[in-house]
Amino acid sequence: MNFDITLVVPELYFLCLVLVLMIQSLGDREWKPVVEKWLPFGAGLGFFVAIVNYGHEGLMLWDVYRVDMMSQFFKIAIAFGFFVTVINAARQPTLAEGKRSDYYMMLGFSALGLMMLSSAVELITIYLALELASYSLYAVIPLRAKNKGAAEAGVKYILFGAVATALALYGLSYIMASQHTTYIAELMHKSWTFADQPMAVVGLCLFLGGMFFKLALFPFHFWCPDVYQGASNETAAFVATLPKMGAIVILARLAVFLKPGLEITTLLAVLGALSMTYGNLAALAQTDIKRLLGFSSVAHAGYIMVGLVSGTSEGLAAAAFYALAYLVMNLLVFWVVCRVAVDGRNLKLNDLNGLYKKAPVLAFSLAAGAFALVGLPPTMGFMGKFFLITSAWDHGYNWLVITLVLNSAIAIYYYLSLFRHAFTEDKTPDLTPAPDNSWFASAGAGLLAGAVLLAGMVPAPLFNLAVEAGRSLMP
Amino acid sequence: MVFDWLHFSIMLFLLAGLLFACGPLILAGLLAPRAKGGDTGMPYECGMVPYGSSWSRWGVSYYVYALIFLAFDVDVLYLFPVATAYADAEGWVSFVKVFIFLFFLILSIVYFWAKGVFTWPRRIR
Repeated sequence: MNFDITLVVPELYFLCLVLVLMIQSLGDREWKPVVEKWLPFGAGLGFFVAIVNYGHEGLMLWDVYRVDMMSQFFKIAIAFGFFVTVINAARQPTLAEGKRSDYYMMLGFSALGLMMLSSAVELITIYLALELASYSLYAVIPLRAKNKGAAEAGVKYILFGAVATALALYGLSYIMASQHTTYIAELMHKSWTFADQPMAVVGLCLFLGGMFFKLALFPFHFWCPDVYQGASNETAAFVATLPKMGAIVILARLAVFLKPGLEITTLLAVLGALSMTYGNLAALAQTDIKRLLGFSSVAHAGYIMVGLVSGTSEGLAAAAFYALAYLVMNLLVFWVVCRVAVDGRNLKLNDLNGLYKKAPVLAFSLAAGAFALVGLPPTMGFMGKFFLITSAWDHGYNWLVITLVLNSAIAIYYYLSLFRHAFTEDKTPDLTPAPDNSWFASAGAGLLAGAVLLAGMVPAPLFNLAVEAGRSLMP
Repeated sequence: MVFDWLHFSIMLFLLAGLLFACGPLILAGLLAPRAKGGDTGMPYECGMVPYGSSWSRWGVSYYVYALIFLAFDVDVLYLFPVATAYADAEGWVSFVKVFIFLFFLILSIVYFWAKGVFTWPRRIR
């Protein structure tokens, strides 16, 4: 066992963080400092630790755990996402007083599981890490005061998750039976055509189903709008962003099998096209903002597929970069949603009316987020789509690239309706509390909007990291 | 393609499988005594005669206990292979691994304990 403790410092740090949270959740409610006071610093330090640990490489624990550029890239993304969601959730109005430490403990466990997921290079390890990341989310989603919708969302997530996990395990058994190994490094050199290995191909499709569930790709997307709508805004901000990072890193690792032209690759492309089309068309009809964002993430899952089917390291790099862009854009939009809904209600589009007067910084940041989600320059979303399109063109899936471009046109309508409601409509609904206009709300929104714009204008440093990550998987 | 003995035997096998599955059902339909009423509608046909409806309400604590029992039962199941193989293991690594496993089990017990799952509340709040 070649265990090198310096390689897993971020994971160990998060484990310690979770254990401290657990101790606090066991204790008295009067324990000081309260969890919201110290945890943002702890999570920020975690982000810092993940950055410092960038650049390490190694294979450990009997070759099932691989620390490379790809895993470190996603660990930084996950640590950043955890940091932002923790600050975001610090003023959560619909969380019962006695459950705060437990709530953060669950989020921390999920982040830890996702970090381990991004380093796992063996199918059973992937499965275990995925379960660690999912189970805690099952418990977190229903925690929203006494809301019936949240309970419904929790039950839906558990049931769909259980089915997806069962499918994935069943597929895993097929892969093991026909390819005789579960190590990705060995599976890479096996044949994955349907003619040679029908059983392995069917198994891999089923196993990918488990990842598609996390990513909310088309046939596995049913939970997504319902869960976002049912869970509290702050929980939705976590569920919408971080688990997708884990799914994308695993898909990127598995995508090294998928040469263009294989049946599975075509399946991925078809599902991606269906997912973006369905997600965008369904989002057109939504009035609840979180439901709209739910369908938007179904569409974004489809966009990610464009990077995975090209079978090049540039494609993987584009997918990794788009994952990061997706994370930051969604965190930004959810931040604004959480600050506008100060009482924790679900926002309708009409609730945004006149936001530019009541909270100009929030309104501007929302506009930046909406433009980024559409993919208009000069935002990170534009650069992400640009890299996806350029990496996938001329690798046999040009129709998918064209579908992506057409879908971006459809998506403009509903994303810009966020903008329209915030800036051009003044008729505000009565009796809703005013949005949070404090320095805390404005600073967070402004920083995230600045990140989205800056990474859109100067994408090279981040994209170089993504390229390194892609090369580490597929030289 | 010629229809040879292999195909014939496959057909025979399929037929035998079909008969094996459907035969008992058909036999039961033909041979079983027809009885209605009496105890045949009861949830348990042996043992004590139950009283009241089967839709009565139970304290949720039963389910919590049952689920926790199930979880730990399955966990302890993993210790049996460890116990058989432990004598042949060398070095500290196996001890550390078992300890990590048990450490998380202990943590979960402590968590349940502190959350008051092991008390039997008269009323669920």
